[in-house]
Amino acid sequence: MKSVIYFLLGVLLILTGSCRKNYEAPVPYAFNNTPGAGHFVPSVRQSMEGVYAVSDGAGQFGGQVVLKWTYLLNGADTNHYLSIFTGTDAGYFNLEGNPKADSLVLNGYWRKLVNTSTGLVQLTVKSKHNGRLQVYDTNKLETADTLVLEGLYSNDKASPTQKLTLTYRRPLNSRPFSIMAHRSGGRTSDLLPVSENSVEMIKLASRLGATGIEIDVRYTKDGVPILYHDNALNLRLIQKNGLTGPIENYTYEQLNTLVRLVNGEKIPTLEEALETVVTNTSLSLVWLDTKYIGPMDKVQAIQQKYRQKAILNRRNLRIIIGLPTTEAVDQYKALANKDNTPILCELDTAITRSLGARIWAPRWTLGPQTQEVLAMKAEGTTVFVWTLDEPKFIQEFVSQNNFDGILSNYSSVVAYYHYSEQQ
Amino acid sequence: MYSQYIRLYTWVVCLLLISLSADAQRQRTRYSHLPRPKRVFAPEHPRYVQPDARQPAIYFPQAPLPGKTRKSIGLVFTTTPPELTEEIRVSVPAIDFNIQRGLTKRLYAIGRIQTQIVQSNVGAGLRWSSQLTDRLFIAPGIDITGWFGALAIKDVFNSQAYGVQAFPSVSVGYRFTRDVQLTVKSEAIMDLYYRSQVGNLAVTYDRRRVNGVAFTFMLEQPFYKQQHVSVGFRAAYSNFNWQLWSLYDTFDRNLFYPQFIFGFIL
Amino acid sequence: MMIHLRILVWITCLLISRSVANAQSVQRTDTVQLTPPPRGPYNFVMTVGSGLSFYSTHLGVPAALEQTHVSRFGVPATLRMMWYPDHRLRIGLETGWTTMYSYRGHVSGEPAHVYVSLVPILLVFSMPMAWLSGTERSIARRFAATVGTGVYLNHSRLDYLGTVLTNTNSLGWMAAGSYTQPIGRRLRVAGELKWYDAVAAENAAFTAEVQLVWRAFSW
Repeated sequence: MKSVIYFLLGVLLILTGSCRKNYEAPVPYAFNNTPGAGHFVPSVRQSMEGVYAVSDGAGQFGGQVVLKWTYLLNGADTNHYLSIFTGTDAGYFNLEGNPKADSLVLNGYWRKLVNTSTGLVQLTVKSKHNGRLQVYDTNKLETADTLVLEGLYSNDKASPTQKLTLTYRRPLNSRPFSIMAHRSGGRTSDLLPVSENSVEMIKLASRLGATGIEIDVRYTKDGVPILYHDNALNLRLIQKNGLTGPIENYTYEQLNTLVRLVNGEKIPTLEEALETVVTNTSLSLVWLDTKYIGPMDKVQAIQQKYRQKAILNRRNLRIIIGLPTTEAVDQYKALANKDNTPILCELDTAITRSLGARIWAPRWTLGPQTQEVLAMKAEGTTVFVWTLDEPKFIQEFVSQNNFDGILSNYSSVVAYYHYSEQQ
Repeated sequence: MYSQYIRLYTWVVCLLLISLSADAQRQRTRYSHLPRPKRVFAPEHPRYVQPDARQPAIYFPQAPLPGKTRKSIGLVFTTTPPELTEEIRVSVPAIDFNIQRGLTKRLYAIGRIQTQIVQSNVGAGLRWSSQLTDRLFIAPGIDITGWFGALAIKDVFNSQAYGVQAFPSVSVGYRFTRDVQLTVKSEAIMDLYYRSQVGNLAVTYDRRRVNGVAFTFMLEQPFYKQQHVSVGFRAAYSNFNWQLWSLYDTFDRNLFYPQFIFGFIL
Repeated sequence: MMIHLRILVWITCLLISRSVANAQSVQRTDTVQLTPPPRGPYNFVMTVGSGLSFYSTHLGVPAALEQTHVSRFGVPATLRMMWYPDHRLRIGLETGWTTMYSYRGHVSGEPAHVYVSLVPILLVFSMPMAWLSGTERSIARRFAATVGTGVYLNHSRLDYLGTVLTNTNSLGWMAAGSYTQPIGRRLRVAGELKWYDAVAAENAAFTAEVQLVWRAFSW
């Protein structure tokens, strides 16, 4: 009988572990979001951008990282953030200047998107002069001096104790290239702090490495274009409330009142999303993925409205309607006036040419398609590839130098391989 | 991340071994004045168990008689994890064929084919079976599997992939009654090789690492007439599942793949 | 909660199986001999039942609702068709209908009401606890464990600024334990405790039912 008890205990132990684990990766750092850049004046920020060698901390973050500054506009104020892209495990750092420090101090957090690893970071910007580290001063910088970021990092919310040293190696690759973030910045399943296809994610996209975003457009029952990816309301994307079924069954007012995205945000309208892009971000491209079946005229009108607004704001911004299916192509063909309506075709080259689309975007799972890509580029067509997340394939696609951009859930990985590419 | 599963795995194995040891001690105490009874009898012995007196089984860790073969055919339904298939939560069926052959009275070879036509998995392995008490059996073993898949769909896929994995395992079987046998199998999942190709571009990973763990609970019993069946559940926690290779999972997390298994023992 | 119930069901099944096994293993020999199994009869058995259900997992009520009232109880209905072969294992299909939960409240004075229910369509396996020994008079042989897997049709109804009726499918499973009392040659009455779990929709309910079991055909 004893053996049965032990046997059942063993089974019990196994069953205890036989459940789906809920993964979480809460951001361990609260940003101050102080307007302005403090000591990080434009010349400092500009000089800091580049490819760096990692000495202390290479085991955690790899031997090389990329540093890039981004900003968010909030009315008259501007918030500056430093992003570090590690290329290892889709890792990134989000840092802000510490306005209370006398020197160039950065605080923030790091995260690896492929898992739940995260932690705090403190870095100080210094320069290495004749082999000795000293306070960084752009005015006193000599040609032979090297920029060094030195500091500490930790795991989770612990105080940083582990050394991290980054030494400037070379400037960023300057080849024009679109780094487009899927679902307005990244997937909910990557445990980002904000929900996919939300206004908050659009504001985060640049810090994750994106220069452009793809957003998913659907219509509510009363014809309001909104951002939502899936066919139905489900617990992957929204907080539990008992409502299910196609989002097209609900009016905007019903959704706006009763539905919240998984991290608590409202489902944004397309207008709210584009307003955020134009007024708050430096993003240069918005790809409107056509998830709806129905007339395209409302989306076209909004696209043209915000194209005009971007021109008025002197923003370098392209808003493009994506055509992923033959149904979407038919909806585009049904438009009365196609002037100033840039499109992106995801179907084959023949359809892309017949539509006069300026952008062709095949799936990455079709391979590099080098001949077709070069032929389309020779005709002046821009070529993107989507939705590529596999890091080794991202590296290969970037190094082949044929595509003009990559759409990815891991824009930080694309940013790492693009900016660190040797020209 | 893996350490917690390895620790759990170790605990399970330890508990099972303790269980067996306790049982063995109980037997020794009871029969301490007698010579230790033999568990396996020669064919001429009156207490020899005829081959056809054994319960037909595939998962139960009792070796087939040397030279004898046992087979099963059935289906394995794998529920896709939401992290990969998102709103599409389906239970994907695969045809499941098993064949086992006794090599010695304890050692037996196993072969398994799972297929969904466009992607398949072929495995081979060895088990070492021991009968510890009248009711309790154990069999450590190892399987090596090779999987491969290819998809060619206009405007969507021009992709192929294949890989090799190893599954060291311990199966513990308990014969509740003459007609019902329960097997609990614990496996470690190890990646040995992975190659993926899109168009003419290929990447390979050949790092050998523990990818996850799996636990199987399997009941084997007669169903109708002389027909026996295996009905059970496998809970796999792994970074990679061969059936979902075309989704190019990038997560370094052990995702949960519940599987429902049903097979007719031939 | 779900985890604990799952474990309890397993352990209970195993313990009962074990105890019954002990009861059956009287004078057993040192090796397991399988006597020739019985032949027939084969039965087609239909079960209908109803009782009380309780929604047993977390639910979410929108923060915008005021004066909310939540109900977790419902009246389930079960229809099960089983094939009883000449051994312990039985197989069949189960469907029915079960209320999950409902809530009501107001948004800026406007009434809002949400009602969630589900229809299971499950492949089920059932096993009486005893089989090789005893007859139906044996208590252990009247206890049965049932597990199933399949699809749940989740139905939701929203009444707020109009009515929205929607359905969505969810994979899921069920586990149940029952006691069956013979009341006639072909009729039995059963009491069943059951756990329904529509995993993808995260809807789960515990039900207690009284069932009428009718042996419709035998051959």
